[in-house]
Amino acid sequence: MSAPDRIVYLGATSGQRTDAFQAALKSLKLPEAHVISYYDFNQNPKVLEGLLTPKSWLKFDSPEGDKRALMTLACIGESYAEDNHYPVLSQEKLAYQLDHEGYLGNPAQFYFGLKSIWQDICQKASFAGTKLSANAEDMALAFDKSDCNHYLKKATLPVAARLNSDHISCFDDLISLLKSQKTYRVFIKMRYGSSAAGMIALALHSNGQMLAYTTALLDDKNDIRITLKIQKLKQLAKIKQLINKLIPYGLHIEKWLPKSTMHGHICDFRVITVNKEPTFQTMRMSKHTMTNLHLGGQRMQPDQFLPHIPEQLWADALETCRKVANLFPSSHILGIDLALLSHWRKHAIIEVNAFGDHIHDCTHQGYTPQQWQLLKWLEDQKA
Amino acid sequence: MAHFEHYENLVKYDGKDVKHYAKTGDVKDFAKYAVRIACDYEETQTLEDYLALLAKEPGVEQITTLIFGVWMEDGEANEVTPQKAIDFLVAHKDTFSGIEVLYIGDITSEENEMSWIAQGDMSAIWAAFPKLRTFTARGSDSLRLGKVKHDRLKKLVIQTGGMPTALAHEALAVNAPLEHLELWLGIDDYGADTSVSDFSDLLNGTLFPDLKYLGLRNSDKVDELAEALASSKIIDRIKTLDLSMGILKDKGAIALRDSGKLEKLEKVDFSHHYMSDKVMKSMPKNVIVDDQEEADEYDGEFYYNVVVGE
Repeated sequence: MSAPDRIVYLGATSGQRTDAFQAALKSLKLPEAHVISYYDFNQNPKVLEGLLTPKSWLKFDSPEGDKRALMTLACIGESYAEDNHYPVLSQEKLAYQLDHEGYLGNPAQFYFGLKSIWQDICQKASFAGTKLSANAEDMALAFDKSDCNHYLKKATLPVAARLNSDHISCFDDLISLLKSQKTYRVFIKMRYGSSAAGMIALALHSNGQMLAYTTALLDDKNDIRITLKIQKLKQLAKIKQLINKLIPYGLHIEKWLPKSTMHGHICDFRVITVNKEPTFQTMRMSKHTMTNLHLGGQRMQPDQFLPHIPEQLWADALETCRKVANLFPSSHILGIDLALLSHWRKHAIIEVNAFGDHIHDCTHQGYTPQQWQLLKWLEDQKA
Repeated sequence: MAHFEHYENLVKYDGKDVKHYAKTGDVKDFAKYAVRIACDYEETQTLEDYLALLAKEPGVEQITTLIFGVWMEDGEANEVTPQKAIDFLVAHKDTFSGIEVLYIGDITSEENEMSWIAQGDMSAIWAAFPKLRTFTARGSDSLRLGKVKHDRLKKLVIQTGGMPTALAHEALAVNAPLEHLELWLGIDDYGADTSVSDFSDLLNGTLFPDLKYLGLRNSDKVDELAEALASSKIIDRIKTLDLSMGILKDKGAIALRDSGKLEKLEKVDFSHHYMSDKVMKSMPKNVIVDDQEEADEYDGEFYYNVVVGE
């Protein structure tokens, strides 16, 4: 194996992801990664530039909760957000929100900031001939839920039907759209949101009743707050107020696909592809339709769930994941969220996560996703 | 954690593995499986379309257990009823002559909210299927049992997020040798307007002489029911009392405990309750007290939630 001269890690200065990646390097006796945060890069791009060589490798990861980084991203993203007709949060307001737990912030601003930095770095890396964990185009595509849904659909892969929300400017528009499309159960997600922040499962009854399971709520100052305990809203006025507040930040709306159930829970799956190959699989289960682990979902290992899933269905689902991975050609890893539907007879892709490799207790041949991607990458170098 | 069946599509029912039927050949041994038909979110077939297909299968008369999963039109369940499928079943009673177990509404919250499930009129079922021994319906909207007179029906389960009085009365008026009566009563918001007095005939023991299991589940009035049960006659002749999924608090639990009747039952289920630690620990050994809940406090008010309020 030929080890790299240097591994550069763009992510949070410290945190679980950074630690997990460093631990993987250490366990494989590889040199520690040179960690650069999004904030540091913006302050002094020369440091990163100096590290980019044909024999170095650059791994992109999430800024996680790094406040200075998020502030930086929001500042960079400001003009792009404006150009795309998204609201802009004042620096003062953002700073306050980042200093306090549980605010949504402005996903569009963060997204455009990330995209801009990725594009900048990828261009520099390309000049330097540095190998990347993914390029800006792939990462941006995965982060834009509407573009990603459209892209996969165009490639005839199974996804939830998206409702075009381009012309929705208020809650009443949304309801008219749902009624005109005869779609009474939808998932409303922040178009540029990460994980389940600001996600709503909305069910409509034609008698006017509504029900929303939400991870976003309005506080007494009418600011959007993210909750880890899924809330149920039944009052039309409250649902309306919340959705009206979310709409300007950009929504992705898709049909609510009824997930299959197992062991008394609603289930979905995270498949991690490494080098386009579906390698890691984990099942998430919850009493709620939002199975995300930080919302109280539980995780199951393949030996616990595979015996309950028809073999052909799982093989087909993994084949779809393989196709998804090949549609993101530059991405060394992807975390693909997958739903099995119609009483274990169909499958669909829920989301694609560019940084979807950070899953606890998930191993393949005894290796973590981080270790495995490094091993695969070393193999590539050798070849 | 207690396991409540509405969270999951049926895997096994009445001792048989559930097999999903969507196209010819999906099920080969009709005697062996509980057969489920259900609509699909991206297909146009209705439940009666699937039934019509099923009716043509050789050996279909061997089906003993038939399950209706979610019913839809063009992939949406909103306000769609299973009435045509029920009518089809009744019209083809000779084809489906083996039916002993019917489950109308194997529908999870992923597919439709329980209180929004539009049900149908079951009046014609009873005469059409004389071998019927178990009947379950989920969802109370438009659900009608009609006048039930049946020689073999032993188990009746009605699962709702809010049971209207008229439906409760129909269930209590069932003329059949019931051994298992299970009513999910639900909450006011979704039309649960029964009061304890509606159950007085049941409680004073004049109904269902063969009753072994009584379930008054998922109820926001479970404390009042528990107090009435403590001094009832029915509690002396059943084997299982199930008050799970509701908001049982100390008041109701103490009344039952102090009646001295609980110990005489084979099984008592209070799962999903709001008892205090002290009272919970004072329950006799045969009482299941899983899923102790804590009230949500909001603006100085306490809120107690049943398991299925939708």
